[in-house]
Amino acid sequence: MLFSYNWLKKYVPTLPAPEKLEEGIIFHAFEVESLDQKNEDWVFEIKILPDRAHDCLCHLGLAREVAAIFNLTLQPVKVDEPKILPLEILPIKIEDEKFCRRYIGRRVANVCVTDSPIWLKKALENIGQRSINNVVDAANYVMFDLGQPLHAFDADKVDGAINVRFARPGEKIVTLDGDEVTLDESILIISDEKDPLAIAGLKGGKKAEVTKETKNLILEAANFEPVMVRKMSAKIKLKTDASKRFENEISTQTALSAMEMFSSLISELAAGDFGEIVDVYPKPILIEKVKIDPNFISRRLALEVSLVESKKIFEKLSIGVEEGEEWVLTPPHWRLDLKEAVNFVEEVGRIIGYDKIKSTILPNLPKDSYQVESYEKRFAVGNLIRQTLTELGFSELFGYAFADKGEVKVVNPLANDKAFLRAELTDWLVEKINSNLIHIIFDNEIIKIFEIGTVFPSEGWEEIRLAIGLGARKKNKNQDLAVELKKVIQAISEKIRWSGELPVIKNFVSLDGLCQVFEFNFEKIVDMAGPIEAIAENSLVNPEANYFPVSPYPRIIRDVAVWVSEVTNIEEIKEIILNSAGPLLLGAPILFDEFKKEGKKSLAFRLVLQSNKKTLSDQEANDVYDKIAAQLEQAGFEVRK
Amino acid sequence: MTSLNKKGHVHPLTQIINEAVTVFRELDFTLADGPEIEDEYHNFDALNVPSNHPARDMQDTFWLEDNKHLLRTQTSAVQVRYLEEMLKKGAKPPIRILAPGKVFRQEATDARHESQFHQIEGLLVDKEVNVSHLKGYLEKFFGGLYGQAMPVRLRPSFFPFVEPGFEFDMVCIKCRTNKGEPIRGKTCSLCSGTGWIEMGGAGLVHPHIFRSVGLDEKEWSGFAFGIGVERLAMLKWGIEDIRIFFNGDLRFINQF
Repeated sequence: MLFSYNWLKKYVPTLPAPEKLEEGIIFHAFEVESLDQKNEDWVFEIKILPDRAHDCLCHLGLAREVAAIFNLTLQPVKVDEPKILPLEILPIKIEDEKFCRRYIGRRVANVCVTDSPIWLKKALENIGQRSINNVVDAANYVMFDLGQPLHAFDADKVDGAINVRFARPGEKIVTLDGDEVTLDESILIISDEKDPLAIAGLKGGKKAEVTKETKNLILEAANFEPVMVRKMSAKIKLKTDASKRFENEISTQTALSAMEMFSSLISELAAGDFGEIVDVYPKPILIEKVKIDPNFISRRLALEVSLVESKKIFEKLSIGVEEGEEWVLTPPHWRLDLKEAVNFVEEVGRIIGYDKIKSTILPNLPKDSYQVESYEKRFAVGNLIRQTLTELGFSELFGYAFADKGEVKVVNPLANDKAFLRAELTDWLVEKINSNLIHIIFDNEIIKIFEIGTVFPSEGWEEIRLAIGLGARKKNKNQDLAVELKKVIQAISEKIRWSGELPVIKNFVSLDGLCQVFEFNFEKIVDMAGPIEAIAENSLVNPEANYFPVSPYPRIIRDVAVWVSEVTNIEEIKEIILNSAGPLLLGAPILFDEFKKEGKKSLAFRLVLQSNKKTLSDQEANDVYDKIAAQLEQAGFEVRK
Repeated sequence: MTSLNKKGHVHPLTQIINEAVTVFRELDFTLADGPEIEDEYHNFDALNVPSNHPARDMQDTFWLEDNKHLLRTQTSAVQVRYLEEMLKKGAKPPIRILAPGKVFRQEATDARHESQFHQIEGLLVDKEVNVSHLKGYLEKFFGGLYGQAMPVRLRPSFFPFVEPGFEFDMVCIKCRTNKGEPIRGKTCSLCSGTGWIEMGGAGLVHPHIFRSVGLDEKEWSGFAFGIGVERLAMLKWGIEDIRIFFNGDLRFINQF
């Protein structure tokens, strides 16, 4: 929510400077996402999480926090009660007090609905709200001040009594946004004797909309049950500032102070004659006291907090303290989150500041402590297979759990082609063999990949699989992929000390035989594994790894071959190439051919040229080649044309 | 043909997980895991996130068709499963577990957000566990990972299964003195000049979890934390787009 510095000042006149305030809020209460200057004000964007959304989605709530954090006095805001005239009685009927815990109504006659004054327009604008008219703005202002959503109806458009009831099936309402909503028995509404007037806690309706022509009002400050509001909001697919507050629950006591502030503001902005407040509050909600051992706070925080200090913090937070061997704590009515001892530990800790807490660790765990060997074994076998496969040239991929086909469906996928959970790894490995073959540098290079990952073959069934894949661009006499794969599987069997077959789920061979994948049940492999040699976890970590972003632009390949003497060091040639190639050379030159002839040696290197900024032209690639060739010649080597 | 006999590469996320396991092993943590498809109870209710509570919105969830199962949104679900299993076997704490695993969030993907990512969950349950222990173990972890003193800072936050709850920051790996104190005000893409980098969420185990599994909350206490694996990898290697971990491109993988 957006908070205004000037607005907070109303409650805490001696507010610290904005940056200092921001720091205090961050380290003692909430995450501040941004702080910006706007219209001679400072606007804080603060992430109010669900534990405090019931009392801190409003300026008073934040002001209370700020006063406690900085040890400042919270100044009560004076509310002038307008003079009360005997107006027509306002009948209010609540069908089920469980869902409407309190309903406060009030008639106001002879108001003047007009534009809001500048101060109000600005106050709302600074926290991202649009001004509508003085009555609607007053309701919004009080909501952002006290956290209580309010509503005003045009009294002349209301037929008879106010009813808080569940809608009848098929009943309809046109909301203030002009949307027609079909209601049902799960939707609580405010209605008159004929029609729905508002969806409780969500949105007002068109029928009794307040416009510039409105003369008489019915004001509403109510408290609706949070779970119901949340369900209604989900069902109608409508989230509003009001529903957000109601679904987080609001203290039922706030409704009255909100009605008073709302009345006072309307009296100031729109004049009018005010009737009596009609307060239907069938079952006042009691505040639960919490008993705690006061030393528990120090023990959990690992801070020497004196009882005097704890008590002082509680008092700053308006928490009542009855001292004794056990303390009896009474949270203020607005703190619905303070329910058990640990909640109070947090209050003391955050107000003192977590930076005061030192670091320690516990002694070693007793050797006979509980642990689960099967998780250890699964991890160890996974690492052993990774080590075995990488030594044989295979690289590990991590795929997506989501797929365009499968047996288990996601209700709310991010895209249609991600609506299922993968039922196997093979498909994806085949796809990746093909996509990686595009990038090979030598035609006879073989793609070798594997994944250890979870699949979801049918509902209620998930298992971890190992899939190993090989792929080539064209047939090679010296390389039989099937034989190669068999060797790999043999190596795994040896490593896990298993003499039987590995549990194959699937063996994919493409028609041309150039792409082959074996998929295994990894969990069974773990079960089969005998006493394996433990490998150190950090042996799988490459401390020298360096990352450079992969260019999105195509590469160009150039070969350079050079005659050298039989004793010339290959590194010397590589060095010359590296030094003369410039920034377009990707990685190092790759030696791919070497032969001797008549006392001379021929070395052929492959160069991969690529730019991070653009598609290279042939000319640019040739320029690099020419530079390298020139340097080699200059160093006395003969470049083979 | 040297190019054909090259060694393969272990995925960078596996490397990070193994680095973390190496450090935590020294601190007597053992491994744990749980299913990627969870039931509502283990992922939410047992973790003090009741249905129809706005706390459910903190993690956008992928639901399965029965509306009772979901793709786990956090490795914290492992906490409950592990404790249940322990009690079923008649065992008791102390325990120290590390649960690396894949989690899912139903949110639009971009360079910083992915619908799947990995977390490392830590859980320690013992007698009289307090906030200084949480801080101590986190500092040991980052210290072990970076081979130098890495102070940790706690900020108040909210996760339903811990109380008090924190976000924790580690001192910026680029903006620190030799002793590990943060240096403020530098131009830094990692910490934006604050000297600190946000690393994860943590807290003391909420008594609700002990009540859920049937462990005496008066006798036992604990801490839990969650760290993003991709985040650690991105910091370590300067990777800017989280999606790259799952694209299966060997031009990326083979750099590690």
